[in-house]
Amino acid sequence: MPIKTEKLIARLEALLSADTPDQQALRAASEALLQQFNRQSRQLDRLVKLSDASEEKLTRTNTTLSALTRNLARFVPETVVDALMKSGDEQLAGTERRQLTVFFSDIVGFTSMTEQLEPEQLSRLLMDYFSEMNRLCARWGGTLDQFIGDAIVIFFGAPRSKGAQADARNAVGMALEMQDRLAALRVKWAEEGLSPPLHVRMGLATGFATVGNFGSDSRLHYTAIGNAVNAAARIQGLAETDSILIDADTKALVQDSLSCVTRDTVTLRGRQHPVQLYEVTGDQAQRAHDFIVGSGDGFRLFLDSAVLSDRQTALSLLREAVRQIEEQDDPSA
Amino acid sequence: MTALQLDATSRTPAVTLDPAAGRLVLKGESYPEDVTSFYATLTSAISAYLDDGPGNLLTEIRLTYFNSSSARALMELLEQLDEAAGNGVQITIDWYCDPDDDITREFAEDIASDVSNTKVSILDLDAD
Repeated sequence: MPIKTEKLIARLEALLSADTPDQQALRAASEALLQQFNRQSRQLDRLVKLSDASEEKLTRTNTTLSALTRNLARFVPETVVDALMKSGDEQLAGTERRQLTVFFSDIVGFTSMTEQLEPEQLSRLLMDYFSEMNRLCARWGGTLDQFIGDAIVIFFGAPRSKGAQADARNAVGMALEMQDRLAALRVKWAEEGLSPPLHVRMGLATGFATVGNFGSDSRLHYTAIGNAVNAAARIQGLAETDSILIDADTKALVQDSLSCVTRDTVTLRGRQHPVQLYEVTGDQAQRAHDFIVGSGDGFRLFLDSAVLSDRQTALSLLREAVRQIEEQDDPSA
Repeated sequence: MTALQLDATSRTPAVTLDPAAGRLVLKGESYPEDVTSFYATLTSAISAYLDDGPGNLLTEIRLTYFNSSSARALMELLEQLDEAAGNGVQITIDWYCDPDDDITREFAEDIASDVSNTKVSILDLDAD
């Protein structure tokens, strides 16, 4: 309460406490307090108005900021957006040497595929493909470095690292799930008349790289540069169709949880010693089998639970299908 | 009569009361942790200046942001100045607002319409 108001109240109370209050003084004190009350009411009105206007402005700013963040995440890796939101400008400065597991993938026979598909079909196929791969990258905590034509470069270990072993496991886990999802997508694309089938080669390498924001003052790109990146690209080129090939450093980090088969020993440009390569054959426990694919005479099933949005309709159709099958006489019985 | 000079901080504006020039300037942002203490220093210095003699006072408000507590303190400050103006001191208030900041401008205009003895001019912050 302002001092002036306190004084006016005290004066009025003192006058009222007298056995025979001075009526003139009482009137003057009451008027002064009333005047002060009116003044403070106006102040309160102004403050409420100011507060409402500020709140409205803040809401508008928050809406703009949310939209900006959503759009930013479409151009810049989500892990980088998160890091920028948390640490501000310092995240933009400088580069650092970090151990990364780098993932590199490429579509097999992409050039001939572009010749066989109509532009709209190709656009739809690639949108499906990149969206799904991007979703899995985010799910496993990878940093999507860039799309180079049909190639995808993702790294784990920066800007945030969960430890070298976890980063490598997440990178390989992501690659396995990507191959699984692609198998499901191929069925879906075939159903939609999109052919030829899309197959992908994947390569991963672990090693040190310089990571950070490269570019000019006005335009930066958060990326990684170093042998591990080059190695991942070259290992990918040596992978069989639909397979995942990794180097020995990555294998050492994931071998406790994933099974691998020894492949060739190769000499990679920029490396002095030959590199032993391994193909990841996977661990069923780690793989996300969230789709069901099957067909035969009189039935065809494709269930992609990872992207299922209308669960009720799916359940109702499946229950009806089960009911019809169960009601049928089993000729083999 | 001593001058008052407070440097700006991240939460408080720079304050300059120059008795010789009869000029008071508030510049910066105002959301002090202890708003009562911060503005009490200012109102005490103004009281001392006004008590010292019937000098004129040009007040420049150049606040780019102030919170609700500061708004209330500003209203008290302007009441104090308007009361002094009613007692014969020539008080002029130049309130500089960001042309894009409708909220501050409307607040300043509202206050200006409520003071009876003081001339309040609302000016563009960029104009100076």
